[in-house]
Amino acid sequence: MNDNDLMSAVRDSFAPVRMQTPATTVMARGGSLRRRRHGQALAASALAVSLGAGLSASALATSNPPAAQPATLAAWTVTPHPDGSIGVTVREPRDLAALQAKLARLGVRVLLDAGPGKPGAACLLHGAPPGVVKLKMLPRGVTFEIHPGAIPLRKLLWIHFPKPDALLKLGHLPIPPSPAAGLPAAMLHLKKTPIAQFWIASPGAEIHCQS
Amino acid sequence: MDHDSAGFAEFYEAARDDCLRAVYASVGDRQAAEDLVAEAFARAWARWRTVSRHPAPRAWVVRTALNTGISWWRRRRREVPLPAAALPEAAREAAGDGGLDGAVDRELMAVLLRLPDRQRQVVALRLFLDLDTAQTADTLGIAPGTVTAHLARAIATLREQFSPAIREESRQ
Repeated sequence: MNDNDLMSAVRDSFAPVRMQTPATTVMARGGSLRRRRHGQALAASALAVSLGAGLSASALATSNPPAAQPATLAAWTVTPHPDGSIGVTVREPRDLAALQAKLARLGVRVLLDAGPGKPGAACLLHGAPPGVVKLKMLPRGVTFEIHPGAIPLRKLLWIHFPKPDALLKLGHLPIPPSPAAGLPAAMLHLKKTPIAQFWIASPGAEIHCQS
Repeated sequence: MDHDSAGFAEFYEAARDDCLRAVYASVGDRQAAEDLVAEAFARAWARWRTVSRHPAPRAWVVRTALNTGISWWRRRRREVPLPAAALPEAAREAAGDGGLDGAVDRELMAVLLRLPDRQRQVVALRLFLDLDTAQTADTLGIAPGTVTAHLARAIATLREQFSPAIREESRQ
């Protein structure tokens, strides 16, 4: 057997291997990545223009005052952003199936649940799914920003509210000093009470956790 | 479908299996290879204007897939396994392997996986993407002479460890 025969034999062995992922799935994911990149570029250029005009960071902050609180707050709200990210505020952990369905329609592979159940404690995230979620806590709920394009293919974001009552009590507590707004985090705590946990889940996969 | 979409769809249809085989041969995991190649093609579509003008877009996809594999490997230890029963149906479909085909001879895969990474990558690029020495060197960021040396060593190993298996098979 010469080299060509050997290489042909190796090549033929791989002939049954065929890609299963449809083009539509790949293009949807690519579109999401593109919107994310363009959004970041737009934000950077907007910041550059603002700084060029001599605006200070504090001026930027005060030029965009928070919206007035509506009289009646929904359990949750979802706000798609032009850069492809999706803002979510959860004030009460109810109708989570409807929230999950709404996010799924926006292209987010997500699973939401609430309750005492705790998935694989040994695999608790340290530091967060990089780039998937940015979160902050408000007086009346938890607000987070999901970047669907950062969720790996065939994986999903699992958002767990371990103590629903703790979320409801947020409205009666002062704004906690941490975590700082916009910082990625895997778990959101309030006075050592876990409020929300964010996971990247890999169904059926064999995972080797490291502590 | 606009011109770009049609062009990308055509490229994907023509190149996906070869790219998958090259990455599968490099990483040795069928599911991971599928995920990495899909992610690399998604990134290609995200910057299609650039990638479509690349001298070897298939090589771009494979290199991106291999680079992505390194960062995913680092990230993977942070994941949690999730029982399939806990998933909504849509997520199960998105996450499941869907009965992937393409089982490669285990003995061959074992021999390939015993090769050093670089030798395996050189074999994959030469074999499945038909890249010449210069293109392979450019894709992997190594010297052409190194590509030649890696290929020669890989072939020698394959001949020593895999050829007997083929001969045995053909005698039966």
